Amino acid sequence: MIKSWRNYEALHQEVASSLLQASESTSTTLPLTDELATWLAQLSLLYGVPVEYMVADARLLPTESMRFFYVDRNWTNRLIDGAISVGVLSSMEKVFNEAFFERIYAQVNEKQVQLRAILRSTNNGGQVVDGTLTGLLFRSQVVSGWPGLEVNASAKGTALDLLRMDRLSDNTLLCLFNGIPDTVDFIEPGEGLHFGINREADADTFNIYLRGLGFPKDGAYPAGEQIKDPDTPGGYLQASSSLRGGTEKGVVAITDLVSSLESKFPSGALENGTLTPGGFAVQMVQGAGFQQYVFGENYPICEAE
Amino acid sequence: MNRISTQPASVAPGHIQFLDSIQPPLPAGEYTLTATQVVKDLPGETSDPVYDASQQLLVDGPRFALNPAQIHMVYPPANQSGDFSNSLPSIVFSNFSLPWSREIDPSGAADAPIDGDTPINQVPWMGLLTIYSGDLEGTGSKAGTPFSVSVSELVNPADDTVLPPDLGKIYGPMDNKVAVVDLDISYFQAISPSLEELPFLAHSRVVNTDGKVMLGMEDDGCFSVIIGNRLPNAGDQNTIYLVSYEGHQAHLHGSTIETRYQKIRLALLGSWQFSTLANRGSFLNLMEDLCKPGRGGVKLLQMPDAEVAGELSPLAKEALEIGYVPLQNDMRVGERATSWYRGPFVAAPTREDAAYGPYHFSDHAMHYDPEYGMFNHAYSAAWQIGRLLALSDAAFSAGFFSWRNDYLKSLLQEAKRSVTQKQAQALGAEAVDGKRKRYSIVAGLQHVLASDFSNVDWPKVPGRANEDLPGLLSDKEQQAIHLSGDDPILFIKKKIQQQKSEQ
Repeated sequence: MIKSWRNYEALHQEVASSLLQASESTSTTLPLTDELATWLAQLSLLYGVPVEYMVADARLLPTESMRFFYVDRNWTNRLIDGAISVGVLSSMEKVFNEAFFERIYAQVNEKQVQLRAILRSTNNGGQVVDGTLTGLLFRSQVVSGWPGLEVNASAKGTALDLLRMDRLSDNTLLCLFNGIPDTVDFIEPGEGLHFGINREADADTFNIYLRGLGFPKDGAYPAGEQIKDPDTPGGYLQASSSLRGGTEKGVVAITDLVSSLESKFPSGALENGTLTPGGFAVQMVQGAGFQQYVFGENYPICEAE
Repeated sequence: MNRISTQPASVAPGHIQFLDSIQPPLPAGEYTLTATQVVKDLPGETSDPVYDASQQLLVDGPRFALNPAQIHMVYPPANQSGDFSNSLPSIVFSNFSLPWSREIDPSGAADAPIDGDTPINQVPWMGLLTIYSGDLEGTGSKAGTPFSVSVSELVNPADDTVLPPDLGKIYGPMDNKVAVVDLDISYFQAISPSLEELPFLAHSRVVNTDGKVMLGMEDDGCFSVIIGNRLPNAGDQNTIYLVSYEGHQAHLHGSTIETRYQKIRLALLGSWQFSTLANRGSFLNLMEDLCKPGRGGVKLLQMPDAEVAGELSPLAKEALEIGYVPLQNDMRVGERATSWYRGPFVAAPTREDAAYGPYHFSDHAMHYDPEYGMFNHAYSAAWQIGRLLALSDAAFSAGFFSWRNDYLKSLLQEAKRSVTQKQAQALGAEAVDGKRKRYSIVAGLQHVLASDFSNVDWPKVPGRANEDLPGLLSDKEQQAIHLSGDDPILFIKKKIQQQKSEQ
């Protein structure tokens, strides 16, 4: 009998042991092809996942809000489970998935940190740091109004890799970071050096953030840098002033503004205590508005219920 | 004395240095150069002879028109639309001392000697006026429309209700054409800066953009800048006039003008237009306002428990704190229930746990809390999305399917090869005694032949497993044959032989 000649038991044992060996192997040659790993890495960074499943309730992310979060790896691994469940027709594929899921996760995690670099065609792919992904959701008119908004996260002074930065909708921004940041900076895109003020829409009053002018010479207020408010942690000194009254709108009362600025400067930060045209121009420079969130210092900032 | 450095060498790369002004060596105007020579100690002379010489000098400079090549850039960019409602218009000149190359008061410094003690003139003689589209509406609008007149009409308008600049002496032909604009005096005074404000609206900068493109300023060197004092109108077309204030030092904001004048005539050096989008507030304000009441705030992604009516149980409170939300879901039997759900974004760090996976079905990933009778659908939903997304991408699902099958096939092939190899080794192995060796040879040969011949397309014996053989085999035996996969014919043969021998 030909059928019984073949030693099936030995064969099954052989297959099982080599599967076991392959799944427990720590060798660097991982099983997935590059395209598949990239696809799964995109999936694990939630590309294509409906927003309703990321933010299940609108009250989690009201308008004009920012929310920080950790990424639940178990959740993203379930996405991968679901994706690799496609085409499981028999116990053969099932056994395969059972044997290889950990190595697939590991390969996806490795790909994940390089994905943004691949998409941007740069070579600076990141490294898996400690496997913790974090991120933020920002829903605001800032997102729709400043398309070139820059977000930088860092931990202990080292910049964290941005794994994904995408708009989920016109006014909702999603950022994912590789690691747990202690500082997140929001930088207004610089559209050329120009001058302006900060105000609410159509307001008659406005404010100007004070910038150092390199005085005193010991460098307490470096030139061009916003001056920290000694009374408010994480805050910056600002002078407020108003527009010139009268029939014609929008005229800045320069003399009032200059004296308001002069009164707010810490002592010694102005040469001879007066603001000169060059120094005034430095105060008025607009183009790189800068909002920083530092853990422990000004974060969590507010509940704003 | 003023020093001028036209090289940005003293400024570090990527840096911009702001200066109050860059003074021209000689402001434009008329000068008299005088020289005196005294010859001393001439023998036979009681007094030293003095020789005087004087030379008239005219330092000319742009007055009624500008060479466009001197304009480095304007902001907001001409004919563009954008969010400029909080930006003051500005113009950058490559002529680094242009704004200070004239006195605003042409008669002011007329007789002052030029030496090291000359006070620095920080008042620019030109400025930017922001005109809203509404100001230009209608004939005889308050912002006027630019037109062209001769120089003599600029200083002596035909209409005596028009206030001309007090320009003093005019050098050059009086019939040269000049672009001018007539503005309502009240309007002009409302939007123009005062004389004290003017110095703050001009400065110089030294730029060194070595190695990088810096804020859109590609060129190195010294520049002069004029800033306007009026913000553009949001959601409107705005026009910027670059005008000469020369001779208007007593007509600016805050000064009183004889009531017989209704209009003021300004020499127009240039103009550009741009559109401003609807007002939105500025970046920093919007960022700060996140914390204002009624806005969303800045915090972790959590369901606000203030939204929940009534008292929260400790479990519900904890669930909300770690990012869960209660959602309604339809059960399979049609019942509607409330279940917990949590997306990929959580308010507390989680540890990746391989013990969770892999799940082969989404129902696998459902968690149930028997104490409260609530399901947790977080992971089952994730599983389902992953599957749906994979299914929706044919390239991926087909690719993954064939990759897995290829891998399995190669694994199987490898296993077969390895089994055969082991058998072949057993075949050639040295045996301890003759009996075992013979056994090994027989068994090994069988397996090798089986492996090799299995690929040959042998004529197949049709299966007889389900043939009805009444009387020959009992139901129990039939079942046993079916389960063992033995050949029923052989079984019958064996049975017959057994019965024969028993007989």
